Amino acid sequence: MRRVPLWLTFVFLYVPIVVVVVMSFNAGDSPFNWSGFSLKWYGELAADEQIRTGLGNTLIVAAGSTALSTVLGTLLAVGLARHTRSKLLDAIATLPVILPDIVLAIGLLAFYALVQLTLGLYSVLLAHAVFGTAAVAAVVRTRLATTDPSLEEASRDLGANGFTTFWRITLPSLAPGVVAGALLAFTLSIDEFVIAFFTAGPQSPTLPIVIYSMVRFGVTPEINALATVLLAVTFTAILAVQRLTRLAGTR
Amino acid sequence: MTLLSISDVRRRFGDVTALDGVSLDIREGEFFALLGPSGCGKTTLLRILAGFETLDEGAVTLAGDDLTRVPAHQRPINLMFQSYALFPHLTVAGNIAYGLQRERRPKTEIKQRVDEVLERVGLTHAAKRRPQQLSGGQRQRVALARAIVKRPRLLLLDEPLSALDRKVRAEMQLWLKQLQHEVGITFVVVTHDQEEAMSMADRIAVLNQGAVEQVADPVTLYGSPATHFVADFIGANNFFPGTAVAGGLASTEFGSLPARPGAAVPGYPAILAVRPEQVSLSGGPLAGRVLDVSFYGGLSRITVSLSPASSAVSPSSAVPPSPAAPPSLTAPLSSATPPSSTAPLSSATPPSSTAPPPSATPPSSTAPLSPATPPSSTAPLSSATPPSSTAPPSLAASSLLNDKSEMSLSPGGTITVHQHGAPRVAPGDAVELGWAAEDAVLVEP
Repeated sequence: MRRVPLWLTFVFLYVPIVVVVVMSFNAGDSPFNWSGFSLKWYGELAADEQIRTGLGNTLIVAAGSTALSTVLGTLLAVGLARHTRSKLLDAIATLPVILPDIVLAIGLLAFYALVQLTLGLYSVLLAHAVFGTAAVAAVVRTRLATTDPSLEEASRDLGANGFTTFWRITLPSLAPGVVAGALLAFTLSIDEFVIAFFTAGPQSPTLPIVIYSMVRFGVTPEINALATVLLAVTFTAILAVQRLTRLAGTR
Repeated sequence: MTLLSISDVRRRFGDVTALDGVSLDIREGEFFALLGPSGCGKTTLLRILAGFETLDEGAVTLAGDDLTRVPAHQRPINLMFQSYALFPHLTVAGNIAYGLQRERRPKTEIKQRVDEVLERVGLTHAAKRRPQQLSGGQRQRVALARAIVKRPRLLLLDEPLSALDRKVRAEMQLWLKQLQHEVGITFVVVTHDQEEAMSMADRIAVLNQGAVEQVADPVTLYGSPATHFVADFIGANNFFPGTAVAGGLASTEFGSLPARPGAAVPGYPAILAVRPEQVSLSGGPLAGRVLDVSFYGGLSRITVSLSPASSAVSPSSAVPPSPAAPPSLTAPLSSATPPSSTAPLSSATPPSSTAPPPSATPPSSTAPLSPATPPSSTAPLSSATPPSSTAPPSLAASSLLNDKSEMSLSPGGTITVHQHGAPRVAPGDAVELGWAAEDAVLVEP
């Protein structure tokens, strides 16, 4: 009996998600009324040109911004660990992850207008790389805190120059943190709506924007199916992040 | 032949002087130890040699070449880190091969040299394992193998045994020394553990507060320490402050004590250091009472509370029940009597009355409390008398046994004696103790 509040909390958290997942297998047209099991909405989803474009755009943005964020974020974390003891700089570097999306979105839009950058897919990619970099830096930073600083000295002592040491010793020992950071940046980018909505060109909507425009004309089970797919992808990525950061911690 | 020459190296970190003019010459093929308490600068010196730290002033040359301009990764010097710093993502063999790969050696040569060194450290079976899967002693051997496989001119070892438990440590000490002999590389080991340094090194430099106190082989360091710090840091010791005189030390409380002159100059303040195992309980210039006896199997440790050399005090401390303050109040009376009248301690007094040469008297007059003096104002102890008139008698009487700081540098006015085998005295026994002049040494304060 004492566990009832716990279960109720879980129900509160996951009922909406369970409803979406269950209804994505609905045979009927209604997103609410169950009328039998079917995978037909997944078929519709695969055939939907609009969604395919959106998904393609989203994957390009996510992959591109993740690649950019991973490189910049890792270098930022290593630089912060190596060359400063300022807690303020540390905080500023990782701030964009928790900054309200709308603030970042307006700021980026104003900035793009200022430098007269025409909005397109690359503007979303760059925008996502902003918070992605911060996210990677934050994850790699915690990993760096647990590595033995004498490893790099040992490498130099054994005859490796700065670059070789970074490539052969620093990076491999940070690898779990770097991968976890990259997965986090990827997940954050895939379902990011507000910033994409502000910075995407009209010809290049990402998947969340496509879904938003579809929902305006009513929710169909197709959306449920799409949500379920997204859920599966995100959930897998988060599990991988957790596992990798735990690995990073136990070493 | 000198391999590494360190001359007048200075290094400051803000307000802290880590190295204050250190000069050392380390010979080719030597097992050299830098010994000192934490914060003495030994680690800074090691890091300067490895190239991870810069120096403010001074010079470091390796076989005549200026080392300070060479970056760490180009120095023919390797360091075994205190944490071992094994690369966790490489196997044991990968860790060892890393340094050779950086030299762009051919693959076959690398494999051959790695196998060779693995065999030397007895880890051939563990070549494919990761460092995390090894025990502490095995990790240490991998770290060592990784350093010696490069065949450096000089191998630096930072607290090599500190991470090991006691039993493994003793094994490793012996093994390290053998290995150094076999490979013929010059070893410089940094340690705060005097036992570790003494058992392994050919020569030891004792560092204190950024300066070298003494450089010598272990036996000399133990038998003839140059300074009070060295005498205190290495092994157990008993100390008596006083003035250096011919043939020993003039102590204000204990009269004349025999010792080798060591580095001390007659007429100047000095400290007499005598090892517990050199003190004999079968007669000598000092009298005391056994406070405590501990038996450690092959060795007995005896703590003796000392009575000052004057005849005045001796009888009072010889009173069995409590040699504390009350009986000592009676001391002044008996003090007037000549030393010879107090039978058990007569042996202690003659040297004190005869020994003090003229040089001893001026410094003794500066001693604020010479406990023996008030009663002995009329006594024949010439050395102690001049200041006696100024010392308040009551204070002096209590200070005999209570005011330890004035009596001796030995803790609590006591002396520690080591005897082989089972103890031959019991607590409460009155004893006479002394030592041969050649077994005690005068050191700089």
